[in-house]
Amino acid sequence: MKKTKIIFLLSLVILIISTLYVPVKAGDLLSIEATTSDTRNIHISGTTDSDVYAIILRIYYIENADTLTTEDEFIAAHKTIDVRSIEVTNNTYDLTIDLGQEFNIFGYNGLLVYASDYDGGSFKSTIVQYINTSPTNSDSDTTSNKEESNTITEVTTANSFEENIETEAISISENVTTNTQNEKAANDNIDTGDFSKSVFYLILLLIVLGVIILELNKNKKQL
Amino acid sequence: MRKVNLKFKRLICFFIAIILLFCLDKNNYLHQVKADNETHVFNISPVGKIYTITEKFDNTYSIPDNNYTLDLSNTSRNSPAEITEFIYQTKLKIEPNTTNNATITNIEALDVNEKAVTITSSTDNDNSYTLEFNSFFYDNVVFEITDSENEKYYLKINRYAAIISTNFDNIDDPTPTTKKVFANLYLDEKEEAGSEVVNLTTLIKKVYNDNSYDFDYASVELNGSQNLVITTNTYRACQFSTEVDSNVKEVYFITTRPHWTSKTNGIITGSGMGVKYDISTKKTTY
Repeated sequence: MKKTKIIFLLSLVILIISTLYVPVKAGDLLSIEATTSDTRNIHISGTTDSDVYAIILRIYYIENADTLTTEDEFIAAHKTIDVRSIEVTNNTYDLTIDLGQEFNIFGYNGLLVYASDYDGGSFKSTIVQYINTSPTNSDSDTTSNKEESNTITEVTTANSFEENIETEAISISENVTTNTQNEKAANDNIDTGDFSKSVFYLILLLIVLGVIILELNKNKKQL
Repeated sequence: MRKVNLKFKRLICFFIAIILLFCLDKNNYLHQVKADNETHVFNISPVGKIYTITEKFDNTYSIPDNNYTLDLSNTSRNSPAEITEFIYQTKLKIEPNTTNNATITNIEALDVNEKAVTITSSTDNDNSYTLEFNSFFYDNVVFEITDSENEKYYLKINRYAAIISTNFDNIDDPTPTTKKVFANLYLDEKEEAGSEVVNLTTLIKKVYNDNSYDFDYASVELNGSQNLVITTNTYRACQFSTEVDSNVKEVYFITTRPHWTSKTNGIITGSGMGVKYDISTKKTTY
């Protein structure tokens, strides 16, 4: 009986601790899309998980990426065009940003958008896609196809440097690295709170089961 | 019979007039008679881990208080009373002053998502309410406080991480020749502001007189070869700066928190483009 009481009290203490321990949970961006039809007004939209209250958006312009030969050159070529934070409503964000001037986003030039949870968490990035809204005819079709083809090339180019760009975006003091193990470690760090809470509940469940089994055994013996 | 009808009509008109009077916005059309001993004073104080910031890099700026006793009479949605609190002070308590006749019946955060601020009334029978900000994004929120007399009061809570200061009084003064705007950045002591590798980065947007703008990184102010930092048991601080001249009219500071290699840890300098500093008026907008 004494043993059961101790276990019961212990489970209560664990329950209280697990309730008090509220981890700071960073949210995640689930998707991002950025388009333009005039190379000046950028429409950005996407979805987040329910832990995201706001996101930070950063738009870069990179010119003549094919002429860059070193990583430092590539990082230096990223010109910040706009930075702003916006509130997320019903797990979605949607806004149009007027960059104030047109940018040449064809060939090896491009506009890049980075978005992350305002309070931390993972980020999403995308290249701004050109949407041709002009009337279609045979000539413009050819141009459009060419532009589309160029855009795809840009995506490939941008993706190969993606993590480097993000590192530059968030820090000028750290070495640039694409170590995926670090990313995993970062993931683990951020989700530690949730994991700990799950462990607490698991222990609690095991204790409760233990108490029930003990009581059942006791009743069996008495019978 | 006609007399009765007339009396009846007059009575109806009288009631319609009364109803109309009550339908009008009483704040705009009816003069409120305030009792001599009636006050609308509220106390605002931090809850949980309390940050009492006193240390400064120099005397060119002052640190906002964290306890306030405010008379919220004559406040409106567009002209609220304002206070400024440390951004890491995520929980604040609002309660009516003991001199108040009325009690708080409701507090609402205006113009933000429903889950932006968690507002809970106390179970201690002291009529206090706790406001908990759920994101660093919400650095200026207006609250509507309703009392038991159905009066409404408005309080804007600004939240700071960076206190802006300058090394000049007027941008056109001949000295100092190198004019700087400083972001004195205060953080929880657990943030890595004092480490040799400062993971904080501050991005700056400078807006010029012709409304053009550019972006740059702020410089970390140094004490010799070390980063200029303040370290206490509850908070830390470091100083960023940027040079300005008479062509610059506004500077925005936005700071990213310490982070891992490929994951950000968020932003601490508030909504929009961060903290805005007007060079001519020397006013900071959160």
